[in-house]
Amino acid sequence: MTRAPLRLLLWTTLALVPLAARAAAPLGDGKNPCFDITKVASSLSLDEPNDPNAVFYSHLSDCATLCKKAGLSCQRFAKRAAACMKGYADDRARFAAKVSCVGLKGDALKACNAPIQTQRTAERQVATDALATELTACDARASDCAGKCQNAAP
Amino acid sequence: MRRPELARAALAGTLALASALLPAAGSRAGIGSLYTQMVCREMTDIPGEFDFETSFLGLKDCQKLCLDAALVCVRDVNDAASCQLAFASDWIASDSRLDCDGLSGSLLADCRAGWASDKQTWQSIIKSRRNSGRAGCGSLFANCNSHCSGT
Repeated sequence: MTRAPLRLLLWTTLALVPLAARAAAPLGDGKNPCFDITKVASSLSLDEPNDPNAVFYSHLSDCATLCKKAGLSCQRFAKRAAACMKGYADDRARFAAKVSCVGLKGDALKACNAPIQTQRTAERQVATDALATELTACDARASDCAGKCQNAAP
Repeated sequence: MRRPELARAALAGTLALASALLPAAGSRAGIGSLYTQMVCREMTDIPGEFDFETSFLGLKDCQKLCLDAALVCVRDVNDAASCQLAFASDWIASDSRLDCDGLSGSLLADCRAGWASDKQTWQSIIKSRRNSGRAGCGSLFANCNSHCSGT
């Protein structure tokens, strides 16, 4: 085989890989086994509904400790959600490669894998960024809670 | 008894309608809830997030890939259950602390025992639903496998 047909084969493979990966991936687009990480901190329920200046723990002597615990709980669930997102990105990439790059070797395999790995890296970065945002939000909720403890410093 | 029966009933039913019942449990009981909704996926919904029954048709390792994908499904079900068990633990620790506050002696012991019982019930429901989720993954595997073999 001369170089020209080889190059044509390589470009054809490159062009078709994203389509093949999308069509055949067992974890398809629009599917997601993870909890929406952006909803973790907002799901934390600490405020007393009838008093905007109080939290459920306000009257307790260990209010500040409980607020801190609530924040840590929030962060743990955010980390779980992020880990799930990253695992999902890895799984999608692994199966996309298994389905789309089967039988390929050498440069053809590398070319086939490249866009899959690019997408995987991007999806993992989304999870990392979302986690950073959510950890900050959990921390803010915990701090707000502690500030509403009855024995909190004015 | 300070810990309202409604809270117990709501907790027992939480896994059936987790996100909908959690806020109701707290408000009806007149105590706080750590979260307004479940912050974990529901185990029985996980198999529905997989779509691999015909993904491996024509591939040499079709059946192996079916098994591999099903194991990923099971792992995600297990992760969701682990998340829910942690959620139940945190939720009950917070609400029991609020509910049993100010009690002492046998009243405190009763209050704590009641919440511990609720926690056990909740954990049992989570584990049962984990089994249902796993079974769902098993069905996906069976369908995938049958497509591979053309049956």
